[in-house]
Amino acid sequence: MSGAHPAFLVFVPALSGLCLVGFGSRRWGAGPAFAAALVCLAVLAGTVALAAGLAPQAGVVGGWPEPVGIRVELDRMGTLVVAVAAVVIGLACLYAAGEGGYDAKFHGLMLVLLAGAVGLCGARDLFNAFVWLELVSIVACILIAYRGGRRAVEAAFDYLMASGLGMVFFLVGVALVYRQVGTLAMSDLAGFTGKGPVIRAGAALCVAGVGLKAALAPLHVWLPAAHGEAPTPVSATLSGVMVKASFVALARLLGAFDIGFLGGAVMVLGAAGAVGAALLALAQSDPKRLLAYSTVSQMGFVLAALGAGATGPALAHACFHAAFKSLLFLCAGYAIALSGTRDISKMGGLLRISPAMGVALLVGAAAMSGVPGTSGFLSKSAVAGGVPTAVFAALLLAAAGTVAAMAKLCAMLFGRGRRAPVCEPLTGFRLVPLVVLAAGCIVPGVLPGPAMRLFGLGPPAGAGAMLSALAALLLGVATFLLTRGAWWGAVSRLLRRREPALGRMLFVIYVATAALAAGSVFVR
Amino acid sequence: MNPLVVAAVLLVQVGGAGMILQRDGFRRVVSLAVASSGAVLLWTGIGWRPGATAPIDVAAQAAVVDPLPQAVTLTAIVIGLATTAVGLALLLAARDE
Repeated sequence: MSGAHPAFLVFVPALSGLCLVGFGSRRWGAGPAFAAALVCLAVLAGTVALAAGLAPQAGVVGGWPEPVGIRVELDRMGTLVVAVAAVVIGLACLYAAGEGGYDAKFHGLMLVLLAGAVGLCGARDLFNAFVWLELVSIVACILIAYRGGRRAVEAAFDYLMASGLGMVFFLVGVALVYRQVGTLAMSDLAGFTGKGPVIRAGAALCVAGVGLKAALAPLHVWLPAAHGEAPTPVSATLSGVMVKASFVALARLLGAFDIGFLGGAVMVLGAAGAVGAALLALAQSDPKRLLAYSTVSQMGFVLAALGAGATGPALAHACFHAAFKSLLFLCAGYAIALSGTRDISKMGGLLRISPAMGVALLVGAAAMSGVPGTSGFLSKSAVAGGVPTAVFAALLLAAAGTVAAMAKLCAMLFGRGRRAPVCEPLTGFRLVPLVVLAAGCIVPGVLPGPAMRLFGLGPPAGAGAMLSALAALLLGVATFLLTRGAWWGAVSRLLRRREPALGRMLFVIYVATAALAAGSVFVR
Repeated sequence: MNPLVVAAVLLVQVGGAGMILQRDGFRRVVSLAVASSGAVLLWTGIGWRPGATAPIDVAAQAAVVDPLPQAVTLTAIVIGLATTAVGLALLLAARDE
């Protein structure tokens, strides 16, 4: 096809989303949700065409030849994340239609978010990446606060401030790089040799600014509130799309700068975040907050693998995590509506009340825990094969913590609990996303061949991987049983009370160090 | 050392400190605006050349400033405006809840 261009994948959702925002009417009912799902389907079809070689992967926008025109390129990593983003956003729009109370503007903004994610995945220079990062976070803020509610609005505001600070980091970092190199194209940066202290400082600032959005500890402090308090379809989208698109940008940055200590720092911070956030997830009493902390933990796995240079496993875990975390968020949101409480200890017996949701939750939790035969096992064992031994040990602990947190989440399916007086049954639009996402967790686990080729993973996991998965499962179940006692209730209350201050302190130390380092580079 | 660049870095640091140390929402929005104008000033300082004019409708041999930092600057100003607007709207929404 001569007219095909990868930028269409940005224009189509952006224009249709803006039309919905501008002209959408309340009288259209579920129409906008369908329209949004169709546009997502079109974007998915576009990525399939790209992957099959029917359309060019790269193109130049702006009417100028390459050095001046803006290069857009969707390589395999970008195409895969765009496909996942399109699927997750389409399903989230359908779920929103089933839940009710979302108007055409909401679906339009979801499409704009998709356009931003596509643009970010295709961005090949630092300037372009900056614009898309800002667009994605501003739209995400509006979506987090969409249903109102004091806590959601405050979470959105905190997120806006954190991401604004991250983007100031990024701008200053890019300025440092540009002053030395004189170009913003990532391909030129990769070829630039003789990286002095100025470029190193600039690169570190850029990585910190993007890492903030990809939940790199300790810059994740905004995430649990934002993902936990957002409306349910938005929570699913945030962890399925936004964090993943930022991950692609981070991977591109690390590849372009190619500075050893940055990769090492991302690896160590990722592993530390994986362990710490798994512990904090276990200490939560709100199911959506638990899942939000577990997003930080799982992104820790992804970033540790990325920092260690195992890009394929990192990408695989990022994509699989998008499927099972979105599934779990949708299930948790429905479970909250079903039981009329957000306190996990007061929820129970939900498997009997809603078997479909219960089974979907079990599937998602199994995939997240890395049970053999699910997608999580595949990607976690690939990650384990790509990191050094010390990081592997930390990730094994984090995996055990994940299993314990998932067991705590699944406990609400059994036993006795109270039930909300009014809740719509789980049918139609809300059931379809659960089924599709659950299939996305199971199919790569049962048929690992195509998935492994797609993500470029190594030979299939052997006995060692099975053994470490079993060890994590056993350790996790033991932890879960141990933490059922009253003592853990006291400890987790303490953790929940102290954690914001501690996270803030780490954040301040980190930012102050970065600011001083940047300042010293200039003043020298 | 270009004094413009030093002033810009100081602005970024003051604004950043305000953002993480202030509790009041409005002051945090203002701090973000200060920090991002520092970043804008930094980019302007990078593109600046002594005696050069703006790269608009000039002869081929004329000394012009680097146009790319100007594009970055404009974009950053627009995005900063949007961020400030959304931040203030969220503050109002939080107050009305």
